[in-house]
Amino acid sequence: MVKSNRGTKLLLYIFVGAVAIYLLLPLLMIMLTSVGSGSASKFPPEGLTLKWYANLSEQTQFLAAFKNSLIASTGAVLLALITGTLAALAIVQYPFPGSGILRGFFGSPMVMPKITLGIAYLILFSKMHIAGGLFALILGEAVIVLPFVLTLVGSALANLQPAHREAAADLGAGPLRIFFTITLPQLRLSLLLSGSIAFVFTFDQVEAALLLLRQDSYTLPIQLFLYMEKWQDPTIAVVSVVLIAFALALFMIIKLVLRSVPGLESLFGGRKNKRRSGS
Amino acid sequence: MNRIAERIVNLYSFGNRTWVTRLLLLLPALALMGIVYLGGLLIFGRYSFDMYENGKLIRGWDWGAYRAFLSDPYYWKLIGTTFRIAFKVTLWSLMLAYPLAYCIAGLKKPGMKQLLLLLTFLPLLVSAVVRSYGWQLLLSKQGFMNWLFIRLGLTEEGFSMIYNETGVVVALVHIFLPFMVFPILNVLSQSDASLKAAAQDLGAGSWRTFLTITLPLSARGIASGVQIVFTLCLTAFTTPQLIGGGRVMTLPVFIYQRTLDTNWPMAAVASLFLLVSSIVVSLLVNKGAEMLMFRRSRKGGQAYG
Repeated sequence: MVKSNRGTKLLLYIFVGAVAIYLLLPLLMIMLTSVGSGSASKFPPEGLTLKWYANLSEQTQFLAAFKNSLIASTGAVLLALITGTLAALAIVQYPFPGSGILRGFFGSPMVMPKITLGIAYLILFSKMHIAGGLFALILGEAVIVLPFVLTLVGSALANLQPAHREAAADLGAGPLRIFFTITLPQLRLSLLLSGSIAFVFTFDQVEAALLLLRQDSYTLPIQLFLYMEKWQDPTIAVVSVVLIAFALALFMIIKLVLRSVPGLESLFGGRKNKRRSGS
Repeated sequence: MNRIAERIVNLYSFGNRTWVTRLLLLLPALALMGIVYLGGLLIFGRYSFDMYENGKLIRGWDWGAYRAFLSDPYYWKLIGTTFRIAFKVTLWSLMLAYPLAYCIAGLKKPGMKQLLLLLTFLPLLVSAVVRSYGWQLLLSKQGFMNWLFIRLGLTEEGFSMIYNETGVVVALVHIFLPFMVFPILNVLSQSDASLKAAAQDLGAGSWRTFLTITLPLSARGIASGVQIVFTLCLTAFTTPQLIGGGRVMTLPVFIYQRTLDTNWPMAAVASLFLLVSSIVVSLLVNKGAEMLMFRRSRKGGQAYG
């Protein structure tokens, strides 16, 4: 490839190394704090201890919040996947005048400030007398992640071969049968991908949930957010470490899934590179 | 004959059913978006015309909140702070993200590449609250950064980096950096390597190749990165609230506080302003990038002619 002079290259590597440290530093700091014995904000920590981990097992509110988060995110993602896939089918397979406007409308929550949506939800759901619970949050979050599903599933649908469907129809399959035996299996990957992106996204939502939820239905980010505003003891570092481990596990799972599907790795530049160096 | 007739019947009934099918398919999404999203926003918008006096909401049709928002210098200061922070964060993330993306795109060893990609995208999977907490630990008065600065002899008492704009910017750059790296990396890894080789065959040095080939080709990626990061910054709430500790007032933080004391008209007007400005910024950045690329390609054309 490109010959560039040694000095510039070295400088680039040093710079990238520094950026990498910047990216990792907060996470490392949290890990260190979680095993430190003094107050959280003091560096260097005075000694090492696992007492905060023991303390966590007494803080049942975090476990409950984690459960709430799982319920809310799963619910919202499922709702968005179902409504989004059906809408994408209508827009891509049976296009009609004005479908572009509809697509724009369905995609617009992406640019909407989340804090605005949070307040709009609060007012709406208060009027409907369902504010405070997880059901309201599921409805609200589903709107927020619908654009991910619509974009990814919509583009996958547009890339499908209509010949497959036509062949099935010629052989006498009804529309439902065509959907379940031909279309859905081919959408598997984009459903999985948009589902996992949407899941990660909703799991971390603060703005929409902060105003909407009652104390017994707090999700994990809300619980952490409010805990952080009040106290700053290392218990929150322990919770964060658990969350980081969770994120790492999720990343590994996604990576494994991606590896099993050859075409997709080019999205991350991995496969394309391999092919180039091989040739 | 029979089969042809059947086909015609099939075609006909299929055509008849499309409207029903389409409507049935769209119905769930339309219901969700219509009631929850549009309904919520309309009710919220309606509140922007109410009045708020002495802690009480009064129903009505009034431009009071709009007038107050646009005429009071306090709100302009707020808007200024929000835009200044967004501008600083965008600039810093571009400066950090470009070399990182360039390096990742140019790496030939898959292992090294995977590692850098993991480092770049791992923070994205960790909650913004958690990352803000990490920065709070790092930037606090007795935290690691000040410990380091004192050791290095840069300061004796330590800088105050938390509960002010510096802290908010440092933490926001960390949170939005991946959103800048991804579009740039995407463009860089798709661009044609033979163009670079051609430039070098023609005798251009590595810097010249970079400035005349690589950088202009990545304008599209830079534009979408800038667009994403800037609008995300304008509407960021968690980090300014936690790292700013109530002392850095940005529009989202302000909106949140107005909601807590049920001043919904003001919250609605400020939200509307936020929405309009992020759309305007997106359009401007798009236009700017198009103009830049257009001028470049014309220049290229003249050089050939």
